[in-house]
Amino acid sequence: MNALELKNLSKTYKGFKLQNVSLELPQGCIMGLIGENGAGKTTVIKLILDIVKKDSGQVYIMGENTDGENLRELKEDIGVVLDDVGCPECITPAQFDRIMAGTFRRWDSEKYRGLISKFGLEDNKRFGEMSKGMKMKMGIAAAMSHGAKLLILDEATSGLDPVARDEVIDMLYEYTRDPVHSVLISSHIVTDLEKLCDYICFLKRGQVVLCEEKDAILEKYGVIRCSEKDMKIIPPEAVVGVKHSPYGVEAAVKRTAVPAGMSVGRLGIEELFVFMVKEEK
Amino acid sequence: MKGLLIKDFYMMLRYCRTFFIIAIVFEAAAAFLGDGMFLVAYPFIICSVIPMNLLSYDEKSRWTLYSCTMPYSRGQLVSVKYIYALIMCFACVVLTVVAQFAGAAVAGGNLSVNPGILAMMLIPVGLIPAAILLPVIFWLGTEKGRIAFYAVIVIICAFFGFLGADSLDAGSDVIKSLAMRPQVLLGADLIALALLGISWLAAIGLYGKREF
Repeated sequence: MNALELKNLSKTYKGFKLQNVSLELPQGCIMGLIGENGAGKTTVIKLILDIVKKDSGQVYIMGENTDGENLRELKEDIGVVLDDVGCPECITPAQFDRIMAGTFRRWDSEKYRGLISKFGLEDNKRFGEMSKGMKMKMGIAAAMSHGAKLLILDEATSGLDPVARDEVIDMLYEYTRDPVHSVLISSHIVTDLEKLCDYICFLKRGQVVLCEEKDAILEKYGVIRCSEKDMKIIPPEAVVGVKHSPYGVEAAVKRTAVPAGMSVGRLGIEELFVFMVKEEK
Repeated sequence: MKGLLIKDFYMMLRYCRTFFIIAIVFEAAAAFLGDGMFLVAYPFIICSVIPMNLLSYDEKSRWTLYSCTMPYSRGQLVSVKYIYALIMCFACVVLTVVAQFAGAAVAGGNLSVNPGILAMMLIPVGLIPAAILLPVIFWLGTEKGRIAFYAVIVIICAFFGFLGADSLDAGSDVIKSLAMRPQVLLGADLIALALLGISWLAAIGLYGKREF
C-alpha cells in the first residue's frame, strides 16, 4: 500500500501554477521532495494537509481519499514538522506535552519526554527562548510521539547544525525501520536527502520533472565531460543539463541514450539537481 | 479540542495578566469609589478583546498554520476563541457582582445599583466586540483586521466615555430607567448572545475558506 499518493494535484496562484503533481510514496519508504525556492514544495505539502485548497486532483493517505471529513481522522496518523515549528513562544516542552495530550488520541507522553531528554531540551524552557535547532527538535519530538505512520517534514533540517542534522537523519532511519512508517521530506540540503531517501521527487516551477527511486536515478543518469565538438555527437534527448566553460563542456545525460564508447561518470543527486535547474536558465 | 483550550489557557496566563489586573483594579475602583460607568464597563471591554489578542499571538508564532496540521477542524479552531470570549464575559460579570457587594459592605450595606442589573447591562459590552471582531480577524488576519479592531474599540470607549458623565452613584436616568425594566436588559443580553452565535457561524465559514 502507498502511504501517500497524489494524483494530478493542481493549484493556481497569481504568478505561480502547480500543475498535475503526481507521486506515490510506498509504505516504509522515505521520499525527498527537492526543488529550488518557489518550485512548489511547500505548496504540495500544504495541499496534502488541506491547508490550501486544491483546484483539482486527489490526495490519498494510507489508501484513503482525503476529501471531506476523512482528513481530520487521518491527521491522527500524520506527524508534521514545518520550517517554523509554530509553537507559541511562551509554551515550554512540559506544557506542550499537555497540549498535545489533549490533541492526539494516541499521544505518548513517555516517548515525547524521552525524546525531549535525548535532544537535551529543558522541560521548562520557553519555546521563544530556544535556538532554531532546539525548536526544530521539539517539533520533531512532537511529530514522532503520537504514533504517526506518515511523517511530513518541510525544510525540517534546514536550521540545524551538521551534528543535529545527523541526529535527525538517524532518527528518521530508525523511524522507517518499522515497515508501516513512511516519510516525505522536503529540503534544500540535497546531500541530506541523498543519504536518507529511497525516492526522489524533483519539482521545477510547479511541475514534477523526475520522481523515481534514488538508486534508479543514480543508475539512469551520469555526467560526461568533453569538448564542444564531442558534445555535438550526443543526441539532444540524452542531455538533461549542460554547463559550458572555457575548458569544455560538462553535461548530465541519460546513460542509455549516449552513443556507445563515450565515458559516462557517476552523477550525484545534488549535481543532477543543479544541472536540471540550470538547464533552461 | 481540549488541547486548544489548554494552550489558550497557558497563553492567557502568560500574556494577559495585565488585563486581569486592570479589570480587578477598575471594578474595585468603581465599587469602592462609586465612580462612573466607564470604570465598570472598561474591564468588560478589555477582557472581550482577549480572544483577539490570543489570535494575534497565534498568528505571530505561526500556530494558525501548525494547528491546521493537527486533527482539528477549522470549526474547532474558531470555537475555542468564542468559548474564551464567553468565559471572559462571565468572569467579568462575577467580578462586577463581587466588587459591588464588597463595595457596599464597606460603605455600610447600601448598594448604589443592583449588581445583577448592572451585570446584565454590561454583558453586551463584553460580547459585542468579540462578535464583531472575531470573524473579521479570522477572515483577514490580525494585520488587516487591526483597523476594524481599533474602530470598534474607539466607538465603544467613546460611547461609555459619554455615559460616564452620569455617575452610578447619582443613579443616572439611563440606569434607573433600565433597572426598572430588567426584561429590556435580558432582551439586550439575548440579542448579544445571538449576535455572538451568528458571528461564530460566520467566523467558521470565513476561516474555513482561509488559506495560509
